[in-house]
Amino acid sequence: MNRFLYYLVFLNMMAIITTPIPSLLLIGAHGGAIPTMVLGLFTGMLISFFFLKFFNKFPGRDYTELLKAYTSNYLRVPVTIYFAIVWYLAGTITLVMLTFLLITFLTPEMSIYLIAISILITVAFGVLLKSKSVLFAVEIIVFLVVPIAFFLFIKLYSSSELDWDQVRTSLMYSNSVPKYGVFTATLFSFSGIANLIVFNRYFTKRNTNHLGAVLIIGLFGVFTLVTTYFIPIGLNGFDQVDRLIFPWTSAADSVRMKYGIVERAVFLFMLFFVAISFMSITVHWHVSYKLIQSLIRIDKLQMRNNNWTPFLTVAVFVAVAIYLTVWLTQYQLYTYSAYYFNAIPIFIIVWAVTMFAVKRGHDNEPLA
Amino acid sequence: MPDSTPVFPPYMKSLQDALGSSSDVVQLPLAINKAEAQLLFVKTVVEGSIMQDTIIKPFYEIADTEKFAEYLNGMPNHLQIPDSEEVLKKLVQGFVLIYCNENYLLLEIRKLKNTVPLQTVLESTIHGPQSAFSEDLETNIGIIRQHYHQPDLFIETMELKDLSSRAVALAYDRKKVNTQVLRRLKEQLRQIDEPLIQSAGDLAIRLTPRKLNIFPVSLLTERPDRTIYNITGGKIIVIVDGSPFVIMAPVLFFDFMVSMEENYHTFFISLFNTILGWTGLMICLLLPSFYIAFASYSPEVLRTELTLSIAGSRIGVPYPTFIEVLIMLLFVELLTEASIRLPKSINATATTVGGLILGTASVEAAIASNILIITIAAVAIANFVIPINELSFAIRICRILLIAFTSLFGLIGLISGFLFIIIHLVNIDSYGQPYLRIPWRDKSSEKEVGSG
Repeated sequence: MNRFLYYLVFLNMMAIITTPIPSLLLIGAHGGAIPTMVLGLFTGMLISFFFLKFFNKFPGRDYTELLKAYTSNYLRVPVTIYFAIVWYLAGTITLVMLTFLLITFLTPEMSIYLIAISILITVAFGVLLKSKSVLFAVEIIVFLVVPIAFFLFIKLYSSSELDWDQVRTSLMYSNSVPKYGVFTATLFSFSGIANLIVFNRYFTKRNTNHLGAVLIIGLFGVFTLVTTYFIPIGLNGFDQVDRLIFPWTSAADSVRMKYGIVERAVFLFMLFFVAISFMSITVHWHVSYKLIQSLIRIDKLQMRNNNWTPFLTVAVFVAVAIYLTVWLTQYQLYTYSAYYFNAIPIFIIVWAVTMFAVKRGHDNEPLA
Repeated sequence: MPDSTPVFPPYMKSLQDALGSSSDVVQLPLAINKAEAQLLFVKTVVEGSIMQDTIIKPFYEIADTEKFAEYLNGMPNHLQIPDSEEVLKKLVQGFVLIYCNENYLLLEIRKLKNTVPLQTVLESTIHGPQSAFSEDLETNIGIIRQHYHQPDLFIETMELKDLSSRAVALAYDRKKVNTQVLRRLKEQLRQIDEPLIQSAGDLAIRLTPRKLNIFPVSLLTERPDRTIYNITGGKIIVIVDGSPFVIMAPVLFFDFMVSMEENYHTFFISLFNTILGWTGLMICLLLPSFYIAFASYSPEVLRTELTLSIAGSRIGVPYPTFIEVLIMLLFVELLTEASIRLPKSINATATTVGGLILGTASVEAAIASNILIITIAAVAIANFVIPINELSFAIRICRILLIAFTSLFGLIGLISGFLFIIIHLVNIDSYGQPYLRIPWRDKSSEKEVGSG
C-alpha cells in the first residue's frame, strides 16, 4: 500500500488533538465513552476497508472524475458541493481550535486576527499546491515531527504524575451504554482515509492487501484514542475531566522536562501539534479546493495565462475562516463542531450511495 | 616574383574580407615545385606548433598537391565546409581553412588554454581528490571519461546561440539517465535566448524557466568526484567551455547537503558530519528568529533562568529585538561579503576588525546584547558548514524571511514561516522532478530508465 495513505491517516489522527474531539470524548467519560470508542474503532476500520476497496478499483482516478464519468450532473454537483463544505469545515474546526489553543497557551497578548493570519498565510499557500506536492509536504512534515512525537509520548507515558489509578477508575465505566456524540467523534479520527477522494489520482498502483492496511490503520487508531482519552484522565484526574476546556493541552502542561532548555513540555507539544494541524488544515482545504475546482472555473477571471479562480476560492476560504475564528466563542465552537461530527453518518451514507452509483455505472459500462 | 605564386581563391578572399583587417588574421600561401595550397586562420586561436607539424611541414615533405589533399582528408580533425556564416564562426574558434587541389577544407587546430586542472577551492575535502576541473571543455570531458570507464557514458556537444557561441557538452550515463529530464533539459538549452553567457553559473540560471528563484534548481560543482558520483546516480552533467564548474540536474534539496568528504570516512564519522551539517543549516536558518521570538514574544517558553539571562543581557539596549538582530545580521553579512571580495592578504584584518572589535564594542555601547552576539556568531559560523555554497546563499535569504515572519507573528510566525519554506521547496521542481522529497530507493523508477 502506498505510504502516503498512511501519512494522511496518521496526520488526521494526530491532528484530532487540536480539534474539540478530546473534550467531546471526555464528556462521555462518566457514561459510555469506552465501549463507544471500541465500537467507533471497528466501524472506522470497516469504513476504511470499504474506502480502500472502492478506490482500489479505480487506481489513478479521483472521485470527481468518477462522478463525472458514471453519474449524472444532478447527483454530481450537489454531492461535490456537499463534500467540499464538509472538508472545508473539517479544516476550519482545526483552524479555530488551533487559534484558541495558541491564544490560550502560547501568545495570550497577540490579537486573534494576527494569529489566524499567521496560520492562514502558509495554509493558503499550501492549499494552492499541486496535490502531489501536498503529499510530499505531508511526508516531510511527518518525518520532521515523528522524532518529537516519540520523545513526547515516551515522556508522557513515563511521567510520574500520570496516575494509573485514575485510568483504572475510568475503566470502571466500560459497561455503560454507548453515546452517539462520542461515536461520531471517534469516527472522525478515521476520516483521514477519505482524503483519497482527491489524492487517489496519485495512487496508481492496485493493491490487494486491504486487511493489512486496515489493521495498521486500526493500530494507529487504538494508539491515538488511548492517548487522547486516557492521558488527560491520568494527568488531570478522572472526576472533573469532562469539564476541562483543553483537557489534552492542560494534561501535557503538567509534564516537566527537568533538564531541558524548554522546561514545560507543553511548548514542545505546541510545536508538534502546530506543525501537524497546519498540514491537516492544508490537506482538508486542499481537498475542498480541488472539489470546488472540479465544478467552477470562472472565465472572467482569466488574465493572460493565469486563471484567478483558484486564488479567489482560497481568498474566500481565508475570509470565511477569519470571520469564523473571530466570531466563534469557545463554547459555540464545541457545540457546533459537535453538530458537525454528529452529521458524519450522513456523509457516510451519501458517500455509500454515490459509491454504489459509480460502481454500477462502471459495471454497466462495457454493455453500453 | 616567380609565376608559381598561387592564385588567391575568390571564396577565401571573400572570407578574409568578412573577417576584416584584424592584425591576427593570417592568409598564408604555401608553394613548392608545382604544389600549392592556401591557409587562412586567426593566429591567436590556432596552436602554431601543431599547425607547423601537421600542415606546413607535411606540405613541404609531400610537395604534391593531390597527395597533400589526400593527406588532409585522412586527418581525424578535418571538417567538411559548412556555409559561409558557419565557416567564419569556425575560423574565429580556431579552425584553419585550407584551399588545396581546388577544394576547401577546415581543420581544427584549436589553441587550448587553461587545460590544467585547478585546485579545489569551494568544496575542499581532507581525504578526497584535491584537483578540480579545468577551464577547458575538452579537458573536462577527458577528466570525466578518465574517471568513469563505462561505454554507457554518453557525451553530446552543442553550441549556444549567444554571442560567444559557447560550446556546451552534456554528459550522462545512457542506461541510468531519466529520459524525460534529458529531453526537457535539451529543450531548455535550445531555447536559451540570452545575448551573452560566460560561465556555468550564468547558464544554470538561464536554464530555469522560473525567473524569481531563491533556491537553485541545479547544482554547480567543481569536483570531478561529485560529478562522477552523480552520473552514476542518473544525473545529467552540463559542461560549459571556459568554466571550471559543471552543472548537474535534476537535483534534490538533499544533494546540496552532501559533502563529498562523507564518502571518504567511516560510517559513524560521516553520520556525525551529516548531522553536523544539518544542525548547521538549522542554526543558520532559525537561531536569529528564535532569539526574536523568545526575547520579545514568548519568554515563558524557555526555562526561567535562561529567560532571565537573556533579559539581563538586554539591559540598556534601546530598541526591540528585531532591530537589534537586523543590525547585527547586517554587519555579519557585510563582513562575509567583504571577506569574499578582499584579497587574501587583507582578509584577516577585516575579520579581526569586524568580528572581534565590532562585537565587543557593540555590546559595551549597548547596541546589542551579549547573547545576540553569540547567536549571530553561531549563525555566521554555521553558514559555512553548509557544503554547497549556493545553498548557503539561499539560506541567508530565507533567514531574513523568517525574521520578518517572526517579527510580525512571534513564535507561531516562526513555525508558520518554516513550514512556508518547506512548502515552497516541495512546490518547486528541478526539470520536472520534485525538489524536496524523501529520496527513497524506489525500485519501480529504476525500471523506467530507457536509452538516451
